[in-house]
Amino acid sequence: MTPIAVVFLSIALVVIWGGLIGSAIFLSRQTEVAQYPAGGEEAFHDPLGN
Amino acid sequence: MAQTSTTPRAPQRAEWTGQLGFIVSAIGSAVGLGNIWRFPGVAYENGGGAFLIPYIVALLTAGIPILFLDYAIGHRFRGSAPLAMRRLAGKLGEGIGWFQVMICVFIAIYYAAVLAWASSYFVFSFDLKWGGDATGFFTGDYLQVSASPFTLDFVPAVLIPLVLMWVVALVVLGAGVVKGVQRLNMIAIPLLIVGFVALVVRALFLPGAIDGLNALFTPDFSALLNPGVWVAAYSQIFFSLSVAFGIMMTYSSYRKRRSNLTAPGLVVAFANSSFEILAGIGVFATLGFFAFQQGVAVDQLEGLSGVGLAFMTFPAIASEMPGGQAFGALFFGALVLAGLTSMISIMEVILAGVMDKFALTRKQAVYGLGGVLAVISIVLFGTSSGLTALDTIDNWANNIGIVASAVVMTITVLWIRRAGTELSGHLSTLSTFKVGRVWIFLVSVLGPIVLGYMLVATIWGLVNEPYGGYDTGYLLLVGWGSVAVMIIASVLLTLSPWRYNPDRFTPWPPVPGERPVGFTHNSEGGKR
Repeated sequence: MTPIAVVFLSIALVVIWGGLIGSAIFLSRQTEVAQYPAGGEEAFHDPLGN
Repeated sequence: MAQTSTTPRAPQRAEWTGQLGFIVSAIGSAVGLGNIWRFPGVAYENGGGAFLIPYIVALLTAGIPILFLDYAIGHRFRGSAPLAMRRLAGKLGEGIGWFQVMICVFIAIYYAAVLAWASSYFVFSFDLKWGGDATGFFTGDYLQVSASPFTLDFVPAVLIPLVLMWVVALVVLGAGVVKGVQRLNMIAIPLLIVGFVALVVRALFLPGAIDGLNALFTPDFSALLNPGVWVAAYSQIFFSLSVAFGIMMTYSSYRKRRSNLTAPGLVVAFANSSFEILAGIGVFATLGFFAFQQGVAVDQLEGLSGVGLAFMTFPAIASEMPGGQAFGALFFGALVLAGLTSMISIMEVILAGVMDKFALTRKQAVYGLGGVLAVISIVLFGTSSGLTALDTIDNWANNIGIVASAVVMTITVLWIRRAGTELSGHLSTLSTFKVGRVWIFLVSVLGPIVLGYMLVATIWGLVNEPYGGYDTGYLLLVGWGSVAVMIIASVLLTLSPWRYNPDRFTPWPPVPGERPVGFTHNSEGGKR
């Protein structure tokens, strides 16, 4: 491949695939916030069953 | 004021089994036909390697922010597009939600047709049935495209797979969000990834593949000065990520209340783009091989995107290579998996909308309304006049419908309803990746400006030049007519009565800047 094409292929891989790997790692390190506000448990229903 | 035990209740809302189920299903929705056949051609024609710059900018400034907006609305207001938007922004919001449902109605009807073609070609791959003239085979032998714009001549080779695709889709949807939709995605997406990676690796070893990659990734920096290229980048991100037409809103409404929203959203967005890049590599490696076989340069090839790429160019290429049967099967198999999981999500928007408003059971919605859509789809596309209709409706539904929906939604939610603080608070309170003023700016200012520009430019273009060279009367009826039908239907659906009161709802968690549901029509309630 020409050098310039290699550069841009690499940019694509680093930014996009890197973004995927990075966001997946970020998520797996902390899957949820440390503390949710009170409430919001599943027994909470409204007339539409939500 | 007492809440009595006789208050009518709908059955409990469906829920994904967890974060992974949601992420995989959202990826299944986002990764579709466009990732495979639209992105590579669009990138190539808009600056090649240089296109990455506007593409990444568009992803970060519009795709991800609007994805978060969809998640916030669907999750906080726990409803399909009409329900969530109604709770957030009253009847105006509900109308926008129904418009998004109607976009999905139109798309679902033709999307199934393309799925049917892909499944036929999957079968054809095993003996390279298209022979020496792949183009002639597709339009002549297979589709039997008619000169007239509307016929009732059914084509069995198309009709049978089309019926089959609808049966599969409706059975999956009828089984429910977890047992149907989620389960399908948990099987299909890993299979898709493995199959597609195999395809790309195979393509990279073909002679001439490197020339294809050079063609795609060599930058043309002058393209960056062309506004059309930036529009193309924003369009691609927009349509690829499935934002602003109800899908991500509906899917996020099935998450439990205590859910991390933005961090999974980043995974979904980058996964979608990662797949497109992979597709770009695979498609252009393959095209490079084809150019090599034909003894031409890549830029002299035609049929580099869309239906032409998939059903004319790729079959022709498969015929030229050793192991072409396996290559074809992998390619069309990938189209089927990607397309089916996207189609399911499009249908879910429609079903959720009617289930929420009219209190239909899932089975009633799937086999009743779903059945009607299936019949319309089969009549329109199981015949010899399908291709023109598909092309026309697709263009208007996407470029006018979705973009208009996004502009109106962002203006309504962020400017009329001024919900930016409430929604960013919702996202940040529940999520590990926080959003604040930058996000609010992107969705309320940058988004509407860019999208508004795209919409005006598109309308101007369509008014001045008949799309695809088709007859202007036909375009008026089928193209603009589709949009008119969407608007009228949205109004009628908004005016019809709810089975259960949508406004008896308290969003959780309480956040700064929030307003009570039903705020916009408090004059009836006397709650003040």
